Amino acid sequence: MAEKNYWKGIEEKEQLEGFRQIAVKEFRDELPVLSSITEPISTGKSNRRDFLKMLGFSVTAAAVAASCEMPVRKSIPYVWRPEDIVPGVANYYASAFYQGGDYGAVLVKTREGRPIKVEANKLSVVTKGGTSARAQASVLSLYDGARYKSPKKGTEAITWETADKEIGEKLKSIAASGGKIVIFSSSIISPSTKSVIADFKAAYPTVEHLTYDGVSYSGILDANEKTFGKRAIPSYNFAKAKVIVGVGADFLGTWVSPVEFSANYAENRRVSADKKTMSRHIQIESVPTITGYKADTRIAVKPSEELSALVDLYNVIVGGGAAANAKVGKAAEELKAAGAGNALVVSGSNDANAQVLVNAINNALGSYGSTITWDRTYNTKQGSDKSLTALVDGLNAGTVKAVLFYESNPAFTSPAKGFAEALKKAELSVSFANRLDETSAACQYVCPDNHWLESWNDAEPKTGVFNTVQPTISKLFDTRPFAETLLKWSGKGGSYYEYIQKYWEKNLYTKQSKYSGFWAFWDNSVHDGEVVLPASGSASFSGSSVADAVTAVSSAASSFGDTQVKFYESIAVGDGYWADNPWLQELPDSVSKVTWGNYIIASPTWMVKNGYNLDPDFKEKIYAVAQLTANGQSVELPVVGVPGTPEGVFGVAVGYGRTAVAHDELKVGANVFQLLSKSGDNFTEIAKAEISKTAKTEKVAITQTHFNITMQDLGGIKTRKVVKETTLKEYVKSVEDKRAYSAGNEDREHIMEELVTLYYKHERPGHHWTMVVDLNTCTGCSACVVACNAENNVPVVGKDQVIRAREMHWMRIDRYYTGEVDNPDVVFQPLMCQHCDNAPCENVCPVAATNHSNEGLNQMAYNRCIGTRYCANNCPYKVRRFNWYDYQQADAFDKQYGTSNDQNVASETLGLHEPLTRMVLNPDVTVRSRGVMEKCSFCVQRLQGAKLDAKKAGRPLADGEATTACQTACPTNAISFGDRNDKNSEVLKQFNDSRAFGVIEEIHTMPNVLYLTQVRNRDEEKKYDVIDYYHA
Amino acid sequence: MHAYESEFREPLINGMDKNYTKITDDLVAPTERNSAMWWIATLLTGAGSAFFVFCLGWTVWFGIGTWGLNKTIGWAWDITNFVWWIGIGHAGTLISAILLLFRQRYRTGINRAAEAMTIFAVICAGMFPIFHMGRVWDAPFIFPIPNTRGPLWVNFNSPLLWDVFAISTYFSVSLLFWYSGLMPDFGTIRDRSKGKIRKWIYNILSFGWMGTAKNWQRFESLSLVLAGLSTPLVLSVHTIVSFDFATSVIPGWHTTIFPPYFVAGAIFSGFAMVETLMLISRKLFQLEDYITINHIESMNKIIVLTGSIVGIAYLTELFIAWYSGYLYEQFAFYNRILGKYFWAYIIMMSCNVISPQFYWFKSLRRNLWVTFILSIFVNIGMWFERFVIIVTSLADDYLPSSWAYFSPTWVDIGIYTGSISVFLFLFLLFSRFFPTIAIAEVKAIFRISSEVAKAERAKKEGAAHGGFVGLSTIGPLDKDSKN
Repeated sequence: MAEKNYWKGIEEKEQLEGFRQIAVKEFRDELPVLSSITEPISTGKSNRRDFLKMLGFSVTAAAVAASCEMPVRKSIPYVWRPEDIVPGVANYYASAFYQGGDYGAVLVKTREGRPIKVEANKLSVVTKGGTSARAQASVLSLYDGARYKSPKKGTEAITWETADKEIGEKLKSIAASGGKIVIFSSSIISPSTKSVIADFKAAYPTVEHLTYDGVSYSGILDANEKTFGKRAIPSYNFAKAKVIVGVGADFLGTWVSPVEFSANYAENRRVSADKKTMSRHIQIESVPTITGYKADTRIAVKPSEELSALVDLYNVIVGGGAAANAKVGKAAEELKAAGAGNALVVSGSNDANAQVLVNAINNALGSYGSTITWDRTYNTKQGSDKSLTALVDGLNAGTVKAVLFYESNPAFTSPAKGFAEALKKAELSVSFANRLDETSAACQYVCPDNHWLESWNDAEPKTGVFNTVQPTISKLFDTRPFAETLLKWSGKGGSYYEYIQKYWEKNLYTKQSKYSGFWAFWDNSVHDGEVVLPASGSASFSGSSVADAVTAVSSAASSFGDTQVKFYESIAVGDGYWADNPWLQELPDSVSKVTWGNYIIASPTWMVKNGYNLDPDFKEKIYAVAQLTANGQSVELPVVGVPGTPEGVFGVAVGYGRTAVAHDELKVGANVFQLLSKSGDNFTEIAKAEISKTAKTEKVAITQTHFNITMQDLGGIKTRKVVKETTLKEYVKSVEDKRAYSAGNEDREHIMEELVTLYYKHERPGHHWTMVVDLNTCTGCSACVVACNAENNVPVVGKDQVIRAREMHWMRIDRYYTGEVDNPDVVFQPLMCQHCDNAPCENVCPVAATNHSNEGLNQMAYNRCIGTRYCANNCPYKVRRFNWYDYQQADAFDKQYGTSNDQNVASETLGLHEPLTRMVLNPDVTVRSRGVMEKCSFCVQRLQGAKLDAKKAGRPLADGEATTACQTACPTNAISFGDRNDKNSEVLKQFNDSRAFGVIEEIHTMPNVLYLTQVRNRDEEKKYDVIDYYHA
Repeated sequence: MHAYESEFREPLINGMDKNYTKITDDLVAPTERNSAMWWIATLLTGAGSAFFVFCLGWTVWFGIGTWGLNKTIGWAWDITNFVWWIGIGHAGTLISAILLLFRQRYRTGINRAAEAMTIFAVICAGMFPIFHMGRVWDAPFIFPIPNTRGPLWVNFNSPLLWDVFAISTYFSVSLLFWYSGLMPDFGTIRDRSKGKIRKWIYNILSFGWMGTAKNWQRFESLSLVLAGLSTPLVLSVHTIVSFDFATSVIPGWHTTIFPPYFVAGAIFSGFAMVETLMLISRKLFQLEDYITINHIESMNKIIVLTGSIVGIAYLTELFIAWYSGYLYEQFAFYNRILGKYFWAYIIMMSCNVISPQFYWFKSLRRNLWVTFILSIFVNIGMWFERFVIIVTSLADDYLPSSWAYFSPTWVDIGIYTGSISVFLFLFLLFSRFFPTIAIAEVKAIFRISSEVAKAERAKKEGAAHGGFVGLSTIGPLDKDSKN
């Protein structure tokens, strides 16, 4: 059939001329614009209007094109894709973190070749899958703008060739003239490095290696040498001990190996229906620590009484006599009653005699071989306080001509006076510091070491336990590993990597039998990160020095007077090594909740008596400043009342007041190392002090301030049950009675009964993410807080902003007291977004920027957020954080700071906006811009990652695969996380535990985070529901 | 509607020399003369308004961090100011709409200014929810506009979204009501204008008002429709604003009493602000004859009524807190009275509850100085009421670990005082260029009082003025007499 032609009208059918003309043109009429373009203006055919249109268009176009500067972004594709790097996929490398005396077996997470996060190595026999706040924060120091970028002579940058040549010549001439060359370091745990030093000694016979730790363990080492003939610290087994007495030893926070001890301690602190026993922990201490706050019984004493308490314990346990302090006597009886091998006494004293007493006590209790073993000893603490004196004396006497500082900053940590002057007398001074510190600033040469994340190394934290340290990024600057530098100067040269392999082949490979062939051994060691050789050490107690020690300690204890100060190590900055790390500076101290700087801890009762405003101006966080004098030196610091501090006792953290740091914001607090005095050979952390109030005041960046929780003023005491606790006895009774809600948690029954709603219940057919936090095993160590910072790109806001209560932490550790101000019980409660299934924040957001996922997550769509802050106001847990300023430089706006005093945004001035430092950011997590709300996401990026992995493998997600950053960082496994819909999940078990409760769940928020009640193992029964919870 | 002359009804306009011409002369006069005082005041408030703009710019440029807010207290002066201004903006509609429906004829003396005040107060109020946003440039997200972002839509559960609708509706209706009422008066001004430009401008402003019967008929219909529309708004706007708090879970916010309590408070503060402004302008523009002591007294009666309602609400809150036995609620109110913001509570209580009680005495109700001072007190008190509700509730809510304190920064203070400047600046412009008293409506009530009453008044005033003139003059715009 022929095709039909349709026509619209006669003109088309006939194809008239007029129609044809129109039909070929797109537009029926002439377009005026086109004509003005096609015909030049000069022909005069364009009219005025067209001219103006053209003019307007071209001017606008030119203006738009000229003014909208498009940033040039250079992205260079991989020409050859590096092995193992898949964009968007993280790689993990087993390694070991050891810096500033802190050790941790870790996995380093790298993305596109950049290390961005430190995770715990679950295989480790030492740290047992936990990390510390410092290990978590160490990744930030890799990208520190204050790192040395090349060798330096004075302030002038030089090349390695010049440095090698000049220093090599000097070393040779000094060695030739018989002058001493001192390598001054903190404890070195790398066996290969030690071997390198031995080689160096061989090349220069006058080399002497002195070890000195800023936070000294000299006393305990000396004592062990005296009583066991071994200058080492043995292994402690807190899990095995049924009764633990800590005397001024913060073993959960800072003492010796806190991550290991926390894990260990928690093992026997966890209670459940299946495990109805827990250890009994008595802490005798002066300045409160997290360890003391976690104890079942805390005996508050003066620092000098920590010494006399040891004498008491000794008298009761060894001597069979009586104790001067009845409470201590009772503790001693309990230790004895625990039975041989079931007790453990630890002391944090740096007085060798005191530690001799501790050894004698432990020996009498039968602890050795059970709760204390000599099979493995710590290499992390080897320093001797004599080293420092030896160095200063040697320099002053002219016998020490050259000094090389490795991982040591005595110009800051030295309590001995005149260090700086002495250092100037050295013919040659070299620092291997990788970033600016006081000592390297005073040295003639700086030969910067690599950061630990950039180098090969090894570690032997405890004898027979070896770690490999592998580089996770090629070195950022022109630095060289310390060992390689020494090898070069020894004339041997070569790479340190090969040196380590040779060392391992010679010394480790031969001692193991698992692998045949070195490379199999090596590859597996690097893969696992840890090699454990059989334990072999032993030592036997010799009590010959004990009698003298008792006399010495008794007399020492009486020499400190009424007003005493104890210098302690803070969890955050250690001996000052970490004081230049903004994450750690902004980490609130679990005890005092203070960030950015040190302060004088005082007894609230004493403060009231001495005219200090106990309730300081909470509005502005203004604290009175006092002058503290000890050892002839004084410092002025604000006084912060901390419940549990006895009257007349003051505590100040060392490590603050660093001066050689890159940013003024880091120069907070005062250096109190100078206030330390000597007792015997060792610096003692206790000092006789004088304190006087000054007229000055200072703002303290405290994150939890002083308010009473109860309404005592109205007569009726009513307490909000944010935390719940009970005693072991009551708990066991309630479990045996098969109660659904165990002791301390009884009120939940009523709450759950009333938990009814008219509304439709949302189904969660897939996952239902849930977290359970065990208050009993949470120690407040704060590793989780820093882990969260690192994982989620949480900004640092600086002192000024913290004073304004604008810290951005997604996770915080709330601290509540109960009981008497002078000796309270404390509960730490990690608090993050509770991911309420009935979230008050969600329904108030006008733009639905915060909403609920079908997996039970309360999520934030940052792009959508307009910043009304209604959600934060309506959050009963106050876990939402608002970006008051552009803390992370995420805005299109250019830098806007520094123009006004009230915009002291430290993240910018601290250099955290520099491209270098921003390399630490996790690319999986959006960097939030100014004006948006943010909060804990349950590490949704990690959950998605785990789900994807499972999906790719074609299997359901297994329990424990999806983890949050806080959970993996926790040394005590206090945080469980998982899918509640998984019937076999650990978290479901805990979720249904009789101890589980939600915080203020009576307002029907239905949180997906539950807490397990704190259980205290002690006889005296306190009725917690009528006791005042307060927080100061 | 016929003008009914009551024997006892006192005249609503004072002065014996009044006739329709005189009224026009009196009321248009402020727009026709220059005054140094006006210039000074306008320049001062103009500068204040410029500072307001500067502070807002500062906020937008640097961030909300320039305010004193913190992680715990996410709203403070911003929303306090917002609710305060919205409250002030309530008098206008109440006077125009509800008093119109209730045939409270005295309202004609004050309705125009009150409506203008409403408009300006709502303008000021509207600034705060906009500029308190962290990302004000994304403010359009709050409008339910069809978009290309997929199913992304506003959250109709959020009281903040209800606010958007409530306030924009209120603003548009109030603006319409106010402007439509102005049209006949613009016509009057135009007719009197001498300059060509002036005539032209007022002609445009009056939408070409001709004063024809059809004009008047439509005008009346429109007034009635708008009055009908506005009446529920008077109650709804502040009810919805109160939902911002009432629907939350925060103790001290989560209260069912809020809607009536807020509405009463709004009327209370609105009338106080009308008084503050009218007392000044009647003096400044010599309008004492039109805004009489009777007006003041009537408003004072409303103030003592609403102030007492507010007082009862405060006490009810306290009682319920105690009676509930609910710890958090009890603590919130305990904190209000004895907490760290106790002084704000004292200011609130004394200004809002105690000070209006003076108005039980007739002599004080009719005393201009007392009225002026108390009207200021009420405004201060009502600002503090919002501050107390918002800040003290947020400062100490559930978890003691997060309790905090708010102190304002210079930007907070600048924005607040700046908003007052903007308000006064706009009012000054209004009073200079627009008739502050509804000329047409005042003329309508000119003849409703009784001859007897007038005669009595004349006797009193006669000595001074020497006669009572022009009562029988019937003006062309006497709409009441038309039917």
